[in-house]
Amino acid sequence: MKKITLTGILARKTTRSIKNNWGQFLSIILITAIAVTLFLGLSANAESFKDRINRLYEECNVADIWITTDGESEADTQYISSLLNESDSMEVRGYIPATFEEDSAYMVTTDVMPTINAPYIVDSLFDDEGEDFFIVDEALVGSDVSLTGLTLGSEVNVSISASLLGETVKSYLGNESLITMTFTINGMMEYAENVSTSTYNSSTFFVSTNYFKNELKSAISEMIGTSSSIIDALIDDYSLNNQMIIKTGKHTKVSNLLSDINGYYSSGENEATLMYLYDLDNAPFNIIVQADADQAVALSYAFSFIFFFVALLVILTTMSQLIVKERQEIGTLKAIGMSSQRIFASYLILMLVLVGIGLVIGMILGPLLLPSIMDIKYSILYTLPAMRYVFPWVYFVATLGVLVVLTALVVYIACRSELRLNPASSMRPPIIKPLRPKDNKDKKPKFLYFKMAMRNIRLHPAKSVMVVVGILGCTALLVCGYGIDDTLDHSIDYDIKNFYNADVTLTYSTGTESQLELLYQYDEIEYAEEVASTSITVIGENKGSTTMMDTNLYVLPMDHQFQNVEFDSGTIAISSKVSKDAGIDVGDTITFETVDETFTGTVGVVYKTFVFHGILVSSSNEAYAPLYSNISTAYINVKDGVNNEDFALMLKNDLSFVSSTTTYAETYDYINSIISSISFMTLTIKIFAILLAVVVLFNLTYLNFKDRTREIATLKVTGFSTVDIAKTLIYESLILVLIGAVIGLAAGFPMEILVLFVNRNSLVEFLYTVSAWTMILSFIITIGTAIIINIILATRIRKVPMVESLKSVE
Amino acid sequence: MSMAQVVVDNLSKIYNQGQSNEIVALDNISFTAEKGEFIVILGASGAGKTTLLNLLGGMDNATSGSYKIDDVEVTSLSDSELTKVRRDDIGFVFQFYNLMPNLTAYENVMIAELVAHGDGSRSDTVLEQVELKERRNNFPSELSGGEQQRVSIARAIVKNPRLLLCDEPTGALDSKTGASIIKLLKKINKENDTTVIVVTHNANIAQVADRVIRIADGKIIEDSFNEIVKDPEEIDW
Repeated sequence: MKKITLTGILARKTTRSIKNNWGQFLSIILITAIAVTLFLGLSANAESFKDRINRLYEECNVADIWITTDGESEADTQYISSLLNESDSMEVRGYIPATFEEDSAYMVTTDVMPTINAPYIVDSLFDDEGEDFFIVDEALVGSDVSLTGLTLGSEVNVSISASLLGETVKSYLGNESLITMTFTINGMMEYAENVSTSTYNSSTFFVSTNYFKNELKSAISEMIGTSSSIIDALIDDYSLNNQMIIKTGKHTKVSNLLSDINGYYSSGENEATLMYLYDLDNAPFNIIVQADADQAVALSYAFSFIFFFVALLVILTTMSQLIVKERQEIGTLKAIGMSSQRIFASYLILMLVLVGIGLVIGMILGPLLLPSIMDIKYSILYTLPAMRYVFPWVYFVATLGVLVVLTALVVYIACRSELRLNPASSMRPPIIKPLRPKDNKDKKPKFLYFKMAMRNIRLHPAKSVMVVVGILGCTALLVCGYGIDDTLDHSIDYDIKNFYNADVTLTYSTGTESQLELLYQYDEIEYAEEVASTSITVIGENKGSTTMMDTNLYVLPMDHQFQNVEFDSGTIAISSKVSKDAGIDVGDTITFETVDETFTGTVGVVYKTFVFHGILVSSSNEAYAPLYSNISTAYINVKDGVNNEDFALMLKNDLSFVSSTTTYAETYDYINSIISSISFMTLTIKIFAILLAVVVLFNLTYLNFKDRTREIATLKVTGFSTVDIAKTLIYESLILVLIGAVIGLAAGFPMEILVLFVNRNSLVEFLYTVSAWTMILSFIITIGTAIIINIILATRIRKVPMVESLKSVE
Repeated sequence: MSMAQVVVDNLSKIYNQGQSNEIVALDNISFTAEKGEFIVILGASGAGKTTLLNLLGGMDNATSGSYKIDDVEVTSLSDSELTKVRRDDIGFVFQFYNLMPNLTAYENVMIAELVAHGDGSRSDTVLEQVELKERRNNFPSELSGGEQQRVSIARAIVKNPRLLLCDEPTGALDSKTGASIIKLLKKINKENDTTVIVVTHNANIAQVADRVIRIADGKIIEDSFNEIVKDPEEIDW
């Protein structure tokens, strides 16, 4: 016969205890499963998302530095090359604004297939590397053109501004500002710079220089009605290259190289004019996707913490109830000589088994479910390689460790006072201080069930506190989830109304002077104003230390209308984010530096904004007038009846100094996209919050019910109706739920601020708010859930068998 | 043979000492139980019988006085030492059996044997001794009161204790079943030479004891030997 050990017998006891009390323990399994599903699911999502971004960047051998100038310069190229190490590599290409069908796009021209920032070919009609190519992104989306219908072999129209080719070529074309060419798609790609698919983000396509020039010559010939050897020669000689891209090796520090390049272009020795210089961290296509990746990581901690906390509360509650129920057993085990340590170990193992089951469920469901749910959003916003199953091992090990330690702590807390008792004390009924009722002589008892409920609450303070805390957590989570939506809606609406309210916004090329007169030649324009902006470093002081922070400076015209910030022209206005980060306040005099000049200003106003961060100065202030010589942006309101998108496209094509245009709708989409992952997550969190409420309430109501089976049976025998008996249970539960919900409503807003703080990024500052409707809705959901669960459990009152329940020990 | 001499010297137990609701449960109890004796402690409800048994079983702490088992002063032992005494030297039979509901009859006995570092070989033997071998795989809820008490007795004697303490062992049973339990205890006392102390309010049980100690209000009011020790079969229950 197989030898039985003491551990083996205790294991059997534990297993049978779980089987016979599965309802009581189900809540522990469920709540652990929910918490682990959320944490490991969100972690897996973050890992999977980062994996997809990294895979795309690896596929395309994405660059580390981009240098965009106004044209090619052999001297500049040579100098930059001299800065590189042996392991670094550099390529030169054309990066030209164009129109793809009727969509804004960027055309990349290279002599041969590039190796840095290369297109990852998914399908093609060309085999030979020397062949001409025209490669588009398989997920190219435009407002007028969708990829549906465009395949390999499709012909597409591409237009560029004639002014890009120089005055000589332009002079042949007369009034024609746009040159339209027809290309045949012979390649489909995935491409890192096209990672974001939102409509505000112009897509990039590739064309070989030879193919481009041949089509350009054909197009011009057609436009002027004849071929011209002069034009052909000009085009052959013309270099489209205006961008250098660098891939650094292991031994090169990107920041140092960036600084050297910046220094070169600031020295005045450069030939071509620098338009943009950035590294991968600051590359426009990368900023938003990385912000999303960072948020994905932050979210996995922010919400999961709350669920784990409530899970521990449920374990504590159930464990405490179990200890009370098994006092006799514990006393008997001590009486037969079992040590307190071994008794503790048996309960610890019981809880670890239950938590372990929840952990296993969560570790299976989380990484399978949540990344797939989040992918619904990612697939709309981004073009990434297919999702791979990623198991977040590091997070799993951390979760396992934390769960084991905290479960042991909770079991210890629940057990310790009982285990300290000697066996006789354990086997005595617990001492309950009797509550002396008020003397109610000759008065009919009023509010009997309410009084019974209040007495029960006072008799079991620990359990009551746990209910309150559990419901508090659930309500606070709901307020947090809905409140985040409120904050996001309010923040976006506020900025759109106060800073991004122009019908059309034009971004000028670097070094452009005021073009207001030219703009007003367009009849469509109702009103326009120009703003100069530049990057600056603000020098401030925060808690005794000098702070330096990079931000934007906006030089506004006198009587500016598009930025709703009133400030005296003798002062400056700073955004609240700058104020906090740099430690600057109203009345402070600050110093800020551009690339080559230093300015000072006294802060007159600190303004709040969601994304329009920086410093505002007035061009009417003589001190800042020099900064207004180079305009960066024009804000335009069009007349009634003018279509924003059409007008923006026309301006883009007409005006060579316009590098990009944005309409009101595109701006709204852009701002939304920055916080889209958060708003998507709140839906998931609300669902989990409700699940949490259900599990917590079910657990506590079930325990109450189980605890009072004898009492219920006695009441039934005495003649109480089912409704009356239900009242004794429901009132107690609802009073505690009400208390927890009210406190939870108050805790919800601070929780919302905390969660959003964790999810902050450098692009935004949330304008925190929570609406009255959010409070009402959260309250209704919590109370409603409590009522439903209590009613469901109350229906079991009928099934309580009076005889069996009232049997004595035998 | 496992026998113990028990010496109780001025043992007292006071609950809520110094408070307004102070209760003197035991008041300077002194007696000696010789090795192999079968002693019945008789008293009405609230006399202090269970309190005395709990102190003798090392399950509670005395307020004052001392108590020795074979010259080992139990009252001065630490908690871990008391655990050892309970494990190795004392068997306790409870009024309401206190079996583990999730363990079978065999497992309930086995757990006590294994706790006392036994090898598991005695459990079936003692179950046979209490005439319950065929019910070894039943859970307590599947056994009658008498059968549960037999299992409880088997659990108490499986580790061959020197001292067997029984708190109202027949209190929850009918007279016929109770008689069979007393018969079993007497058998154990005779065959194993175990010192047995039974606490009860049932005067009939006192007739089968070697010695009867009566207590009331926490004090011994009579300590006498039965001149004629009756067989349980001779008693009119």
